[in-house]
Order: sequence, then structure tokens, then C-alpha cells
Amino acid sequence: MQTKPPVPPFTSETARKKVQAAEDAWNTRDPIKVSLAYTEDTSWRNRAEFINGREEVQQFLVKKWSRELDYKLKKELWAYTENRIAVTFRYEWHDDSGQWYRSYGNELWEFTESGLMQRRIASINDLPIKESERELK
Amino acid sequence: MLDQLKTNQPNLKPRFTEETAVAKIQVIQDLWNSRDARRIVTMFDGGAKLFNRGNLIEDCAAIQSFLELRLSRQLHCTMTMNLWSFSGSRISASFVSEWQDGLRGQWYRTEGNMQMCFGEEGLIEKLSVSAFDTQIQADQRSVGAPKDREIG
Repeated sequence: MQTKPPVPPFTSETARKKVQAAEDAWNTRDPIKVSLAYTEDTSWRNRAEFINGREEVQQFLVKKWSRELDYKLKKELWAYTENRIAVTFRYEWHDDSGQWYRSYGNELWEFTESGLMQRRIASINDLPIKESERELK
Repeated sequence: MLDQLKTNQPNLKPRFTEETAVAKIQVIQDLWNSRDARRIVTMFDGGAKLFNRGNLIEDCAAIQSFLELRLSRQLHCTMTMNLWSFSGSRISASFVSEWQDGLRGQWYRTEGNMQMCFGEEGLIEKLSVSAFDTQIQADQRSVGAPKDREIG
């Protein structure tokens, strides 16, 4: 069985490690690399969009990072219980017209015993910002 | 009378257990569904921060004003919350609410996630909400008891 430590049940330390690993992975902006943290049949709701399976995750991420340029993310652990973790995050990016945005989100994660994420429920809101207001560089 | 509505009952303070976290969510849901900003605001600490869709609202008075405006525009609002995880003084939940735009009559479903941090007395010190709205037809409502959906 493919495993991705740390595995549930999470402690404060292992939940933080999981959050940091996700932040580091997403900041590579590599869809294949990022998708490997999820089960093959992973089930996502990202904003209003439903995404099922690793292949759809990869396609989603390719589209995301073709639109969200110079993307930089910061995640923070909120709460954890057994095989679930809740996270707050913000990321900054600009579109192809040069308009910068800060996106704020809350996401809920659920893992299998292997440490791969089987469910991700993310709600996100975008606020336009000036380039001079960037906090994540 | 409002003191009776406060959520700082001894058994609903941090550190949460599964039982008290579930109960806490139910209290918050019930307060929200009262659609009374004066009652809803009793679950917040005086210096609470509400981070709503990326916008920061600080302290109880500002939160009450925000709630009054929200409830004046979002009629018949009914919400269901589901506990996701809890640890220490924090609780995370997903939620769905349905409401009617008071000006245009259009019904909406709002779906999102809430992250809450509570003080020692069980009052919310920080609440972060992220969500999105979808237009629905009145007969597509599914949140709350059937009597809540009788409004057409």
C-alpha cells in the first residue's frame, strides 16, 4: 500500500507537519507532484467545483496555475481530530492583466490510514490588492 | 434575559470533547437560526474578530451591525452546520445556509467552512468564514425542517 507519512491519528506535531508539507508542495506549482498526496479516488469540492480522482486534480491544478501567476501560498493548521485536519490559508497571485489578488480560504481534509488525502473541501474568497500590498513573496 | 442566551455554559467551554464540540455547534446553529442579531452576538467575546470572506470585522458592536445588515438583506435564513474537527479551544465546521434576497426575491444557497477559536469562557474570539453562493429555486431548498421551507 502506498503510504504518505505522517499517518492518522494525527497529533499536534504530525498535523503541523502535514500542513507544512502541503504548503511546500503547492508552492512548487507542480500538478503531478501535488496530486501524489491524494488518493487515486480522491474527492474534492473546491469552491463550487467538484473534482474526482487524481487525474482531474492534475487537470484542475494545470488550469489553476495557468491563470494564477506567481502564486505564493501560506497555510495554517486550525484543528485536527483523528484522520481529519482543518486549515486556513491565503495565497497571492496575479492574472495576465497584472491585477494582483489575495485569496483567503478554509479547507477541511480527511485522510485514509495510508496518510493520503481522500477528501478535500475548500471554500475560498478572492480580494483584489495592489502589488504594493503583497505580503507573500 | 440575554444572559440566558449566552453560550458560556460550564460544559461548553474548551477543551472540547466530541460531545461538547457537537453540542457547541448545535448552540451556534440555533442562535444563528433565531435570525436575531442581538442573540447571535452573545456568542462572541467583546473583542472578537470575524473574518468573513476575506474581510475583517472587529469587536462585538461592529459584528452586531454586520449581522443586522446581513439579516435585513438575507430573509428566512436557515443554516445547518456540521462538525469537522476540534482540538483544544478550536472547532472547524462546514455549513450550508439558504436565504432569500429581500430586494429581488431570489433564493440562494450558501456553502462554506467556518473555523472558530474560543476563549476560556466558551465565547468566540475568532471566527473565519469562507463561502460561495449559488442561486436556487424556492422548491430546491433542502436546509432545515420542512416548516422552515414553507415560505414560497
